[in-house]
Amino acid sequence: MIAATQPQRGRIRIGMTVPGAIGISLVVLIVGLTILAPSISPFSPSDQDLYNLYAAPNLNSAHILGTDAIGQDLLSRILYGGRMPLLIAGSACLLSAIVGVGLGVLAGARGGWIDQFLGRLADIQLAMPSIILALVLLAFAGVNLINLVIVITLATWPSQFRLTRAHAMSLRRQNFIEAAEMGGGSTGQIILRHYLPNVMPLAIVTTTLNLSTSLLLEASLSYLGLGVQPPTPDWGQMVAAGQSQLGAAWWLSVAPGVMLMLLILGIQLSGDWLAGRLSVRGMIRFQGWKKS
Amino acid sequence: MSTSAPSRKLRYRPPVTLPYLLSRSAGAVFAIWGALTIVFLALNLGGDPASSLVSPSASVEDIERVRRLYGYDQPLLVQYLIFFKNVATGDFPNSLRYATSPMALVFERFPNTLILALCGMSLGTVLGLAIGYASAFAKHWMLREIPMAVVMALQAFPPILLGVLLVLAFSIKLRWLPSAGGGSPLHLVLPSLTLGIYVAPAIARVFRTSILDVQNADHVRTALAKGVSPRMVRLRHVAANALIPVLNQIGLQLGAMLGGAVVVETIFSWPGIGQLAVGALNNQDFPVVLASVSFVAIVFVLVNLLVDILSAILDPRQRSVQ
Repeated sequence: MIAATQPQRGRIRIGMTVPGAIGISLVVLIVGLTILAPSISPFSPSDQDLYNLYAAPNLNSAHILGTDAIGQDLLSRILYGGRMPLLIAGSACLLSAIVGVGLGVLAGARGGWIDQFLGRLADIQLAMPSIILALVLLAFAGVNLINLVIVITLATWPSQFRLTRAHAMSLRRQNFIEAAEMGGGSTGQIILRHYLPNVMPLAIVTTTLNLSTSLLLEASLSYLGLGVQPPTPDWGQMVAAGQSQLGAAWWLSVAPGVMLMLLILGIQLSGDWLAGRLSVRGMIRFQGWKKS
Repeated sequence: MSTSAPSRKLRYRPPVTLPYLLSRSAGAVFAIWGALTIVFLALNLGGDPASSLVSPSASVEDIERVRRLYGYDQPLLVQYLIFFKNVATGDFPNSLRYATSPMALVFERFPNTLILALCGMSLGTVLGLAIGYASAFAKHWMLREIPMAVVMALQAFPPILLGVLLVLAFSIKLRWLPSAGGGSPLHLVLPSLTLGIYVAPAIARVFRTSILDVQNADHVRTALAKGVSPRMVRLRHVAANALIPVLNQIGLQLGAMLGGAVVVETIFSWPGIGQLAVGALNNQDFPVVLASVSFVAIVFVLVNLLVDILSAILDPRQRSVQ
């Protein structure tokens, strides 16, 4: 039993599964295309070809995927359109990981009033649907890049905090932590040396799942006109802009939506694979992963 | 467990204990306080609340009037208390666009959101339960695996894409259903379908996992051993017991649905409270934003409280006061 799960000497077992491989390839492909957008996209995303409005997708023309209402090249806009979502959701996700995991470990390891206080703080956050929270903050604080990142971070840190805290609390009763405490290590030292490495697998998985939640929220906000503003292209905003021409040119709306869907699917499949790989599946089950 | 005398009289036991009820209600009050505090902070974050609550072309006297009327000339702490009083009495500055009390608009729109949320939830629950049940019990491996793969794919579907695809298929290509607006039951179909598909995956996953957990419980083995038919065991002993985590999930989703409705209502121009808030925001009609957001935040907390109490009635294990 033990021998079977031990890695063979000299070989790293990746334990790749088919869904995992599909997920990772999707993420690599879409993130790669997005990063490389300036060098591979045929046009600038804001260039207007006024002789070619609403051109249909055509492999033989200059505009492979066609053009939109003001003659902008759809392919270029889709390639560029992933940059803002990835930038915003990525930074928000990173921030939320730092805040959520950091505070979660602190609360779980220390307990006491810190735990009580942070728990209440997370409760308040969860007392509001994240899109409503985003709505009210963006309404009065104004729509800009930094506010978007803050709003998405605020919406996602509580779930990360709760999962990390629960795990840190279960660690607290383990022998090696008790031994470290009896050995006279300071709390900071124990958190850094013993708690953090042990919550890392869980943190990696929750951060991955959080990225898909953040992307979804960013897209929803941009769709509602509260996210990235034109002329900067953004998938959610493009879905909204194309919706009024759905009958004549459905691809304007569907194509960016599909890109977003594929990216989220890729992230979720990778997250699922990671959860199995890092043996944390049991920890995130039944916690009711909050969708935006 | 108790060792009291066997002559003890049977007395009426309420389904939930008073301490439980009190502690949960206190939690709800706390949550409402927290949510409204966030709204208040946001309102002050944007600078002068009074000038953001009147139309951009308002005169200095108008701004002063609103400032005095709603207490924005007072110290921040007093403003905070006045804000709570105003929310409690539904007293907000008039809508700039509709020139009526925002609460009137909120009450006019809220039933639509409620109908949409309930239809979407019922649809999502039926769909989720069916997929979960099939994926746990179906005889053929394809019937077990394919629904879960579909669930995985649906979970990645952004509601905005789903909505657009549904409009494209049913309104534009097939011309069966209207694409936007409200009024008739037909208008309700596509938005509820979008919401339903949005929540079904979570319900399916929880139901499936829960079934697989309950399947190995002692009482299931006993039922099988005493000769209850396998189908009865599946329905009465496994599925029925597996529903409790699903109920919790429905509660979580019902709240998420109030948020999801904001997007779905906008996609289909369904005249609900979410569409009201987004429309008001895009028109800089901040009193309406304030009123609708406060209202949704309060309803959200109350819905969660209701679900908590309901699941405690159904599952005594959850009654302990935490």
